[in-house]
Order: sequence, then C-alpha cells, then structure tokens
Amino acid sequence: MRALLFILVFAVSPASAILKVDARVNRNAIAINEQLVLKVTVSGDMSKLPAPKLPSLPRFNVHNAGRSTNFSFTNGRISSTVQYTFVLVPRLIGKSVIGPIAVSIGRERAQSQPIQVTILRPEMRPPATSQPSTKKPRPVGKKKQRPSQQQAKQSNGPDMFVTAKLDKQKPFVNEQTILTVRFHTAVRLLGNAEWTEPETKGMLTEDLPPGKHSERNYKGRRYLVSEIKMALFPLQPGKLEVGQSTIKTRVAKNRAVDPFAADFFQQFFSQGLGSEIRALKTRAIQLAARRLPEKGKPPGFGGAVGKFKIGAIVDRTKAKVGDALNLTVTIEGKGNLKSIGDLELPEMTEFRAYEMVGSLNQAKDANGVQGSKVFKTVLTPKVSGKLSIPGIPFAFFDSARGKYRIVKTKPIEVQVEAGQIAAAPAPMTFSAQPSGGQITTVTEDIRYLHETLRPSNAARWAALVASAGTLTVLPAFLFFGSIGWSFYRDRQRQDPAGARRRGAHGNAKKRIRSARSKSDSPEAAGELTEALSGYLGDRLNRSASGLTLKDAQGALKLNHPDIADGHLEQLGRVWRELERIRFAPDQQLDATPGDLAQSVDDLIKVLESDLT
Amino acid sequence: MNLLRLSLLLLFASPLAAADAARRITPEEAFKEASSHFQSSNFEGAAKLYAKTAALVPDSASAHYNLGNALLRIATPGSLGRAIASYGRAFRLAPRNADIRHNLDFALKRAGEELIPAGTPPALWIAFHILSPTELTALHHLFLWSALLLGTLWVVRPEWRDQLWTPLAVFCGLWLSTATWWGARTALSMTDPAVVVRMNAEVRSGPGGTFSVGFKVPEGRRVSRMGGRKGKWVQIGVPKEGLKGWIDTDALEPI
Repeated sequence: MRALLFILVFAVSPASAILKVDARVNRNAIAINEQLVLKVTVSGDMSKLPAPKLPSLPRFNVHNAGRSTNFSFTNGRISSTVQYTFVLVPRLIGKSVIGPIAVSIGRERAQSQPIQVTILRPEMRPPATSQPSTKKPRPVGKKKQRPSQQQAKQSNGPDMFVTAKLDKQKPFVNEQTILTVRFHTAVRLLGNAEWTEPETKGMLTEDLPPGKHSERNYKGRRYLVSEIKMALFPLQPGKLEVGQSTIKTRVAKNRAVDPFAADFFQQFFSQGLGSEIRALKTRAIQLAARRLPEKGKPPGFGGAVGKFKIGAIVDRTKAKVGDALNLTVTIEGKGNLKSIGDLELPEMTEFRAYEMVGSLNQAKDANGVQGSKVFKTVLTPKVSGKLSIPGIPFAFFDSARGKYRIVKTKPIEVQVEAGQIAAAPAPMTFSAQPSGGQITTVTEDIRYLHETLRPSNAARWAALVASAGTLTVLPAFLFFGSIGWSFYRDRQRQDPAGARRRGAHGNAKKRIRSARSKSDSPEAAGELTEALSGYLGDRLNRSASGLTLKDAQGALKLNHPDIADGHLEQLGRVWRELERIRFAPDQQLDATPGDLAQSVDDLIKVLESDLT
Repeated sequence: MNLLRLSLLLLFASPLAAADAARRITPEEAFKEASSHFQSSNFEGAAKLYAKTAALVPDSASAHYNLGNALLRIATPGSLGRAIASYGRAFRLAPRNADIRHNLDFALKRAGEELIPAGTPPALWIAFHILSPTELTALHHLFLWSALLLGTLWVVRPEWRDQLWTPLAVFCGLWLSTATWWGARTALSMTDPAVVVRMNAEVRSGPGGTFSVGFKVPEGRRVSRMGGRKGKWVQIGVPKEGLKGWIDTDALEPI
C-alpha cells in the first residue's frame, strides 16, 4: 500500500509542474535614442520549457538577443530556467506598456505582470544633420546640414547597403568568432527590417544582442548604421562557409522620407501606398577552421576553447566526520561554455564525493558569449584531522595564446573532527521509504582498535604445531617400519625352514662370540659344538640335539652334491676335535678357546659359501 | 693504569647503558602508548609505535590491525596501501576476526577492490577462509600424525584392528580434507602477495627505468610477486587483469 502511494505520488508529480514567467526591464524610463533591455525568465520543473509570446509592442523595434539556459538535476528531479533577452529600440515618444508575457504548456499557463515604460525625448536636441538615436548628443542650436534628399542626390552612395565581416578568418575548432552584419541606410524605413540568418554548416551559432547604432559617411553620404551580431563556433576543421544573409525592409517608393527630420511622423503617415520592399544580401564568407594541436593536449581536455578561470568554495571549513560539505566549482570566462562537459574531481581518499550537478549561466554582449558553468557536489569527510580538498584542474585551449592551459582551484583546508555518528546528517537521501523504527546507516567507517596485543594460546599452539612439520618423520618412520616388520613376520610364519636357514649363520655367530669369552677350553668346546650342530640343524632343517657327524655329512652331501669333499673332511676334523676336548678334559690341550672359535668360524664360513 | 681504565669505562658506560635501557620499551608498553596516541588523533605517532610493536610481535594480529587503523587515519599518499598491507597481515593471522575483515574490506573498497570477489557467496568465502594458513597447517600435521600412529597400531596389533578401524578412517579422512583444503587455498591465493603503496605506480616491461611503462597500478591494489628480481626491481603480476611487469620495490609493501 505504501509502495502504491509512493508510485502514485511520483506518477502525478509531472502534472503538478510549476511554470513561472517573470519579465523585467533594466529601466522604466529611457530616452528615444537609448535601448531598453527586456529579460523574460521562464522556469519550471521540466526539461523543455515553452518560449514566451511577446505582446504587440508598436512603440519599439524588438531584437532578439538570445537566451541562456540553466538545468539542474537533483535527486532525480529536473528543474530548468530559460532567460530570454530582448533589446527594445524605441520608435515613438510617450508612455508605453509592455503587456503580460504569456507562456503555456498543456494546461499549465503563466503570465508576467505588465511593465510601464516611458519613452522620453533626448536630453539634448540632436543636431539637424543627425538621427535622434545617435549616441553622441550634439550641442543645441548648432546647426549642421542634415542628409537631405537633395544631398543624397548629389552624392554617389546607394540608399542602403549591407556588409558582413568575421573578426577571425582562421579560428580554431570551437573557438568563438563574431559575425558582424552592418546595415547602412540613408533613407527612412517604413517598418522593422527583417534579417534572415546565414546558413552556417559545421558551426554552432549563438545570437548576440544588436550593436550600437551609429552614423557613418560613405561616398559623401551620411548613413545610419545598425549592427547585427552572431557568435559562431566551428565544429570541424577545414574550410567552412558563412552563407548569405538577407535583410528585407520596406522603404518609400518615390519619395524618400528624411529619418532625421523633426516632422518624421507627419512624413511617415503621409506616404500611404508609395512603398516597396527591398532585399539586401550579404556576401558569403569563407573561413578556415584550424584543428586543435595534438601536441601538448593535456589529459582530461574536454574541448573547451577560449579563456577561462576556475574557482572553488566550500560552505564551511570546519566539520565532523560524516558531515556534508557543499563544494561549488565555478568555471567562468569567454568561449563556448556549452562545450564544457562534466568536471572530474581528483582522487580524494579522505572524502566521499557524490555526483556533480552542473548549471550553465550564459551571458551575451556585443563581444560574444561568456558566462560561467557552476558545478555543485557534496563531500563527506571519512576521517578526522586537517584534510585538504586538492586543487581541481580544468584544461582548455587558450586560442589567444595558441596553446593548452590547465587552471586549478586552490586547495581548500578543512578541519574535521571525529564524528558523532548519530548526529551526522545523511548527505543525500535516495530512499523514499520511511525510516522510522529501522536502523539507518549514516556513515561507514573502520572499526576501532584492538586492546590485546598477544595472540591467544590456541594461536600459539597452532603456530608451534605448524612449525613442527619435520616431526612428521617420526610417526612416518614408525608406520613404515611397522609395515616392514609385518612383512618380515609374515614371511617367517609362512616358511619356517627358510627362516631357520636364514638365521643359521647369525645364531652360530652369537655362540662363537660366547665361546670366545670362555676361559676354559672344554666349556668353549661345548659351546662351539652347539654352535656347529645348531648351524647344521638350521641349515638342514633338522633337530640339532640328535644330529651326529655322520648324519650331518650324509645330509650335506645329499642336499648339496656340489659341496667340496675337503670341506666335509674339515667338518669331521673340527667336530671330532671339539668332542675330544669336551670328553677328554685331562689331556694336554694346545688350542685356546679363541683358536677353537676361530676354527669353527672358518668352517661355518666355508660351509656357508658352499650352501648358499 | 688498568684500574684507571676500568674506572673510566664504568664511569662513561653506566649512564649510557642506563639511557639505552630507558629507551627500550616493551611491546606491551609500545602498544599501549600507540593507543593513547591514536585516541588523541596523533595518528602518525600511533602508526610508528604500532609498526614497532608489529615488528617485535609479528604474530600479533591486533598489532597489524591497529597499525592499519592508524595508517588509514593518516590519509597521506601511500598510507592507504600500507594500511591494506597491515590489514592483510592481520587477516592472515586471524581470519575469523570480524573487525579485521570489516576494516580490510573497507580499505580495499577505497582502493577499488573488494575482499569477497563479486559473485561469490559471502558465507562460502568466509567458510573457505575461516582458518588461518598456520591453523590449517597445524591441523594438517595433527591429523597426519594421528593417522600414522593409528596406522602403525593397525599394522603391529592385528588383534586391535576392529577397534582401530573407525578412528583410523576418520583421521585419514580429516587429513585428506585438510590437505585438499590447503592445496585449494594455495592454488587460489596470490603467490607472495604485496600491496602497491604508490599512487598510479608505473609497471615497466623490464627491470629498469629505461623500459617502457606497460601499465599503471593504483595505490592499494594487491599484486603477486612472481619471483623475478633484479636490483631494486621486482616482477609482479596482477591476476585480475592478467598483467605482468616490473616495478620498483619501493612501490610495494609485502602482506
């Protein structure tokens, strides 16, 4: 339901658009030889505003002096203002009312208040030879010959002619050049002259206010000169042409009426039907637009050509973290301000920057288009301390110097205190949802310090265990050793004769070592006899206790036919010698236990080589 | 004569030794003093002391975290990158700490990155990084050792095999899981990571200023050191963009 209401509110908002019109003049009383500037401002919350409709102004010649537009796009809503400037040149003395100026779009209609204007006689009487609109008043009573019909006949100059001129023949692309059209007339006009703009392909144009009226002598004839100006901005390099423009005006056919005469109105109304329309054409003008140089083109150059300066201000220089600071950057100068695109802020780590909103304030005068482009944004400090908004650069091509320039704003120091988050205002609200009863994130910041320096015991233990990777060798050795041992054990179990055979030499060696340590030869002989019989029993897989020499020799010969007879004889000698020592201990003994052990050891080695 | 020398030595050495002892500061004292500097907004002083603490107790995630906070508050060129490096070290030591994760993400966002890659479910990412490399290694070792000891018993005591079978399978499974996890973490993380601490640091095509600039890396961007090193130049890679080049070592701070 709430969402539906929200949609409805936004859906109906364009219907409730506010349309306003305001009209102002620079003065309410002017002399007939002066000009009145009428500014009509139309504003509304829509992108396309209607043009104002001027009421009938019989006492003025009306010249359109252009318009300037301001757009702003804030929180998704557009508002715009268009200011139209008109120059009113008075034609008749007396009181005049500029009626309500109306604008309308759809059902919306607005109109301005009427304006009372008084047109006065010039303060000084103009000289008889000059037009009353001349800027330079002449002393009263000083009689001068005025450009009479008789004089016109005597001179060689035409009744009227028109000239066109550009102030620059070789402008750069996007550089402003002024087209000045001068309309010379030596005869009285029967109405406003109509000017048709020239064709300008490849150029942007801006109307400029008309120049001053003046007088000029040409070929012995005095002319009233009116200037029409237009600003041109070439969009592409190369040869371009400003086409012919046309001025149409109605003049008396047979009889010229002196525009400077005191009985001007009488002459004007008495002419009647004797008039004709004359059309004057300017010549086409060629211009060669120069390409902007690539050399020295700075990064971020957006195409602005002219002469500009940049400035920046913030609404306050003391704030708290999370506060909103309004930063306004103004680029002003002479040139095509419309070509200035979005302004990029430099990287600011300590501020959060929001979208920049630009608005154009364009002013025009006889010297061309100038004005300012204002960019506004909101910055929120993220951290406290003495922060600096760095200089914001703007690059343009200075056509007067013929090179690129970068102007920068001055850095702005901002003192930021630690924020009270709850009190910090949200810089922008994008959500239309009511926030009551809900937690709203105002500022995102880092979390606070930790107070415990040392890591936890668990972390220390983890580090200790992780660093003890080499200790893995121990359990790995145990595991693989156990596997090896298991294999060995299984093998022993599966082949007991083989196990005895493989262990025969080892067991015999142990007993020989034991016999060597004996001090008594009969004892040593007994030990060695067991070693020898045990060896033979293991090798032959027979019981050692019941084994005789004859059995042993027979079994050896039977199982190992290749055994040397000498080795069997050696076995018999050693066996008998050992028995002799064991069973006849009273005999004289030459052999020591070591000698006996050595003889048995040698015998077993010999047999081992034969039996393996 | 010798006695005189000894007396002179004691006379001069004693005050010097005392002064040296007075200058020495324990990590706890430095940590506490740094916090007081931070609270009085003397962030540079706090950063110096936190850096000293982190050097003395390199396994303290809090020291690295607080150092990151102080550097982030200084807000001078290079401090954002150094803050990210400090938070990165703290995160590697204590990845389950929500404050460290938050501040690292905060700092990375300032540098145009995010801690959790776009498209990755945060819960999954956090679970994947819930253990520090040290913890993961320690668990891997413990599970491996347990599995080996149980395996030894299983071999040498066939009569216990019925009782040993379940714990042996569990520990083998845990060991294989941690090994796979460790392998995945190693494969997906940057090799020898570092942070760029210079604004728009120039990365050149070779190890020297004469080589052309291939690309520029903004401050705070995490890069991988590829192993190549020549003088003051080190070879780096930017995995996200798939770029490689050589950069001045002064423009990097290891994580």
